[in-house]
Amino acid sequence: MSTKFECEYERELIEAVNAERWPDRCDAELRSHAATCEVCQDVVQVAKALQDDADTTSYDVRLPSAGLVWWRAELRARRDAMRTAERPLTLVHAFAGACGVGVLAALLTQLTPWLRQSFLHLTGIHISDVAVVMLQQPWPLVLTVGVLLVLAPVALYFVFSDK
Amino acid sequence: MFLRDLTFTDVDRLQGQAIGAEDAIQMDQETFSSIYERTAKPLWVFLWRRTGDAHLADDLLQETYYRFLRIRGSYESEAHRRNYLFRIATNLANDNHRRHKESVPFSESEPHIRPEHNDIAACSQRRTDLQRAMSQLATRQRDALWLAYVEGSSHEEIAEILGLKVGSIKLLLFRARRKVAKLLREKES
Repeated sequence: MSTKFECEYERELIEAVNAERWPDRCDAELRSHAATCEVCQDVVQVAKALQDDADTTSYDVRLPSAGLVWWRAELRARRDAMRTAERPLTLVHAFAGACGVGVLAALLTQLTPWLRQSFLHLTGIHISDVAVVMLQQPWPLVLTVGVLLVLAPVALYFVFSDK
Repeated sequence: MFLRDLTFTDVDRLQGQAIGAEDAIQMDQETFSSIYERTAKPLWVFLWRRTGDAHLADDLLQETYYRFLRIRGSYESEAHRRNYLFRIATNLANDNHRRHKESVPFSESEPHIRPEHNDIAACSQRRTDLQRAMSQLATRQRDALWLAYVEGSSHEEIAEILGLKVGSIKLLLFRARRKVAKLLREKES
């Protein structure tokens, strides 16, 4: 025997349950059918339980007003529109920033010998002395570089992220 | 008007018009209010049952209407529009579920009991039994049962909302219904 998945009375039964007509205020024919139909018995059992649950939940729901939802949506739409409009500008800013960093790096490369000479001249320290100290106690340098490596992507994320 | 003749005010105005055409809300406030009054409550209850969190349901409801307002859709009927709202809400709840990964039961929160209800203890017990039974189902089965028996949606409508084939809805509903009905009967006996 094949399993019956649905019944022709199912829709009528759901409507009766949702309109709170089941069982007393609906057709006798529907009642007598449901008494013998396995599918309809399950439908009544589940539909009634779910409908009661939905009614009870709906009773105490406090929703925001339509005006408030509309206002928030409008505000959000404007913000999104602004963001869309500003996106090309952000790309230009990023490109300009990258160019700036490049120029700064080039300048530093050109000025490094002069800066080194000036520093040594002013302090009287020999460069090999500094190197020896760095090799003996490298941790502050390693720590500084490590912190910079961790912070740099985080800073970039906050600068360029949408939120 | 030539480009060189444009003032900054003109540029701002034209930019505003361009943004407006692309991103504006696609409905007037009066129409929206009328739709909202008819659909917000069942949508919120559906979202609350899906997420088990009233605040999250509030947020998802706002997001549902925001997306609905941004879409330039043409709706054949009131039911078509309502189905569309449920479809957005379902997708948002699914996205939220995927992001957070935790298993959300049918609902664990304290049930609200109608003051006029004759037997508060029995009502509370029935809700707890239902919650336990529904928790045994997959999210898709719960959604299908809710849409079929609370919202009165047809198989075609459920398929449209859940993004499934119409043919699979019959079996999905049958299995879910049989399981829940069996569990409820066991509790009753």
